[in-house]
Amino acid sequence: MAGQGGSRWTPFGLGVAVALGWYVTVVAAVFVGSSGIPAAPDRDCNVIFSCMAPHEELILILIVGAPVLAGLLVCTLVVAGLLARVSRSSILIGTLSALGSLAVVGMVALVWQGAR
Amino acid sequence: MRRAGLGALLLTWLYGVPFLLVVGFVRRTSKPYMETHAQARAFGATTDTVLVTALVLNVALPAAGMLLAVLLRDAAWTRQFAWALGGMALIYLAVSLAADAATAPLIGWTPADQEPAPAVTRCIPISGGRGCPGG
Repeated sequence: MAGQGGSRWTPFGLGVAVALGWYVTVVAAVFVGSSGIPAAPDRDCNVIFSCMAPHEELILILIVGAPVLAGLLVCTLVVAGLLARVSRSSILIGTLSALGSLAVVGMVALVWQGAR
Repeated sequence: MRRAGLGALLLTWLYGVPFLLVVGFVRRTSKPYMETHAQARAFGATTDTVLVTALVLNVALPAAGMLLAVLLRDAAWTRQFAWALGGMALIYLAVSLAADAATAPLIGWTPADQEPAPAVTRCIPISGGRGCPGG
């Protein structure tokens, strides 16, 4: 694994794989968690998108959030590339690049909100 | 074979524990619609089970991995699981910060329910069921 990877996997490549694993894990966990929550039967569902099942919400977020997701992936590659020069541990590279990318994307979103 | 086993242990810890924690936090912070008090209690109990499992696995998996790596005299994996023990401490720190942020306890919480409080105003005798004092 980390630091003693096989012949084909560099710490950078394995680190990006670890970061992707984080994204998949978090999305899957939020999906599993929110699909176990019962909703009130007497909700007002006249407004569009107000009463969606968890899987419908997930699909909508993936479509609407595709640019954000793309930015997140590019950011992950850049941060992982920078970290790969410092560290040899792919788990550290992947975890820190996922956290760092989330922080960067979150800050960009805040600046975007403030600028509008 | 040995590397695969230790790797599976590490990956289960790395992704499995945060997965369970996120599932538990999503359930814990939700406002579920609960018809009866029993349903609400069952929902709270499931949430507690998920969170407790995550917290137990958080210490059990790195400790087991460390023990195995030491027994197998594998220096690289011992170092790997020593780092994992550091990550375990970070996860506990994050969870305790999250637990302090709420006024209600993180584990042992029951969501609100829609069951109306039973209003007992007077005794109604039921034939073959219950009698009333004095009647």
